[in-house]
Amino acid sequence: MKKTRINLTIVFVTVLLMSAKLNAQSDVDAIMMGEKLFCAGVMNGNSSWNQYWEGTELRINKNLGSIRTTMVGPMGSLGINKKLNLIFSLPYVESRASAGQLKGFKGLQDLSITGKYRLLKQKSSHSTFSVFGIAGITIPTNNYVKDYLPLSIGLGSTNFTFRGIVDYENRNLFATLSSSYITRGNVKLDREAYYTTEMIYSNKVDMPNVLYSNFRLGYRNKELVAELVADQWTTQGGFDITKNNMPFPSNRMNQTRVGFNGKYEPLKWKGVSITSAFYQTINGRNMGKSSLFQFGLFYIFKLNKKTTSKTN
Amino acid sequence: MKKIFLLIPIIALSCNKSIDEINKKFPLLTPVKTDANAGTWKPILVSNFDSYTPSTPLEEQDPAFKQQLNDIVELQKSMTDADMQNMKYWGAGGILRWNEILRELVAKYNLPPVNNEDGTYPIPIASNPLAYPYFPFANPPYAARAYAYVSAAQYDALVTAFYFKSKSTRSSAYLLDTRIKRMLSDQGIKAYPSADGVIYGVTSAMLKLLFPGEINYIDQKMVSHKKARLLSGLETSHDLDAGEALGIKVAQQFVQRARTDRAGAAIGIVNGVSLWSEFETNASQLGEIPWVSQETPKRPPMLPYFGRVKPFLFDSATLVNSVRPSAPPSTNSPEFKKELEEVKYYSKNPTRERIRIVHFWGDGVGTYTPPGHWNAIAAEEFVK
Repeated sequence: MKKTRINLTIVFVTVLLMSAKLNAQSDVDAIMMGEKLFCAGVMNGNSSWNQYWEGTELRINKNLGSIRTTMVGPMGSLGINKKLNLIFSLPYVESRASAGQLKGFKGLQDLSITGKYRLLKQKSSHSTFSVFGIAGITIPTNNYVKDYLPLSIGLGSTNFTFRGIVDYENRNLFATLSSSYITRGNVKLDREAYYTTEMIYSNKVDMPNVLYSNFRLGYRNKELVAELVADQWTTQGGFDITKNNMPFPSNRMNQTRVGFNGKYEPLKWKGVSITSAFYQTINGRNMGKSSLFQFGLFYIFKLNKKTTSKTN
Repeated sequence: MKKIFLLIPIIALSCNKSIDEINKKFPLLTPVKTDANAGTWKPILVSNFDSYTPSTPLEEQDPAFKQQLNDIVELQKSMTDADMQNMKYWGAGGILRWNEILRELVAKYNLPPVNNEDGTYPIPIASNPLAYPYFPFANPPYAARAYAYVSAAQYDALVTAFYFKSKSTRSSAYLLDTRIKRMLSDQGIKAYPSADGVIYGVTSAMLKLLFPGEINYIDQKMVSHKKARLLSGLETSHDLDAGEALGIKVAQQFVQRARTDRAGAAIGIVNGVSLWSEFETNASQLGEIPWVSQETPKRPPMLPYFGRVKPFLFDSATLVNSVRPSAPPSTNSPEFKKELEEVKYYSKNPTRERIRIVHFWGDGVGTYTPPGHWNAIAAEEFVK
């Protein structure tokens, strides 16, 4: 374990009203796995909300009660070399509503594979400045039901993510800023026509792309990472849920969250790390006002015994 | 490894996101039969064609008529790509397109109102359609009636129009002025009064009754339909206006019928008092389990007296004696229990394929409803 840093909190469990969307935090932070090291473990996330934004109006719905989504699944990060990491995740998601007639769904969601490349690292006496480029793909593992929001387990689109990260560290204090553009492929529904702001006679839905920003501020050392996080998910287009209608995959879903993320790597248990996070949605559009708790447990394997694990 | 990362943006950017919409690919209408004798067909409501006689057509030598031919020439000269697209859109068939517009309006308005603070539900008001709750709540019974009225009125209006066409000598515009290009197929039927004019006249009048909050939208569609027909080189403004006026006149008869067909009473409120408990009481007295809303707060039944609305093709006695199905099995009967088990079985064993079937035929909130689904199926069959 030593100086190897991983960070595997999930940024996006349950973004979209109810659909859990998984996104390894390790692809929004500035921490890299050392060469020939493989960190793997299990993440668990629980999100719930009982208020949601119908368009911009915050409301309750007694025929849904509160919506709870549980996510559990493997995550991992592989250090190809000290500049390049490969990150993957594959969550199993279960949804349920506490009231009303809508039944929840459960199932394997999307496989996400991300490459993270360090483009620049400048060190001075006490500080380090780094820049990262990230590219990733998210693919649904099966034809799960998408057209049943807020109880669908995902939105079912194949996404490509492009992200730039800048990180500044001074002694143990750091700030990380990232910005991402996510292109989303068409989604196929079980019906042949649907109404958005007009009637569409197709079973395919054109999914608007997304801009995602993330800001982190905190403390990190060999044993501990503690950070405050704020992020914003902004859909580039889409339409608002009409009054008392059901949500639709191509709604204009926006969300601003604030949260705390922590990771502890006990020095006496070499290779083990524990992560935990809490996020609260503070503003949104066509999404639930959710609270999200996460917990993760990981272990780092050395793929090449001779490698001296080295980070940053 | 780097090469793989370079590939990702290339794949992402080359992904074709465009969606094929079935209705945008409908071919131009080329009827197998022209039905030139349609003026002899039996209308549903119209009884006396002569009371719909259009105004006497302008003489072909009339300068006002010459001017209209000239207008088409000018219009065709300045035709844009958008105009061409619009002409082809309507060229797939006026009835087809207006049926699509109707389905769209149903889907837009098929939203159950949100409850009031006190747990009651507001009722949409026809005279104030744009104040929430919007009028109408185009639920399946409302939609079924809307589809029926629009189609019946279109049918009568077209039969009436063909009756007058058979008495007309007016040729298609392009035959009267060699500068006019024929852009769509000509069925060789007289142009006065225009069938397309009749279609947008009658349909827009019916839609304005059924969706009073959409008058501007309906007018826009009417304008684009008229422009498409002028560009086609088949009809003059004069032919189209005569058709429109005839369509509106026929619609008036259907509007009048719609006001007295008991649909207004289908909601089950008399002098501000609801009759809804009647169903529950009746069922309980018969020892049956009554229908109770499963929503919170409990939603009133959806147009529960819709069964009393006057049908088009038979009277109430025929409805009661020959059409009405026999009573459903008692909720206590083994027959009912067996059927309930079947439903429960599917509910407990929802395979992905079964969910697909359910969602395909779901036609719930925010859709064109089950009658609309069948209209869509008919439309797709129609263009084949």
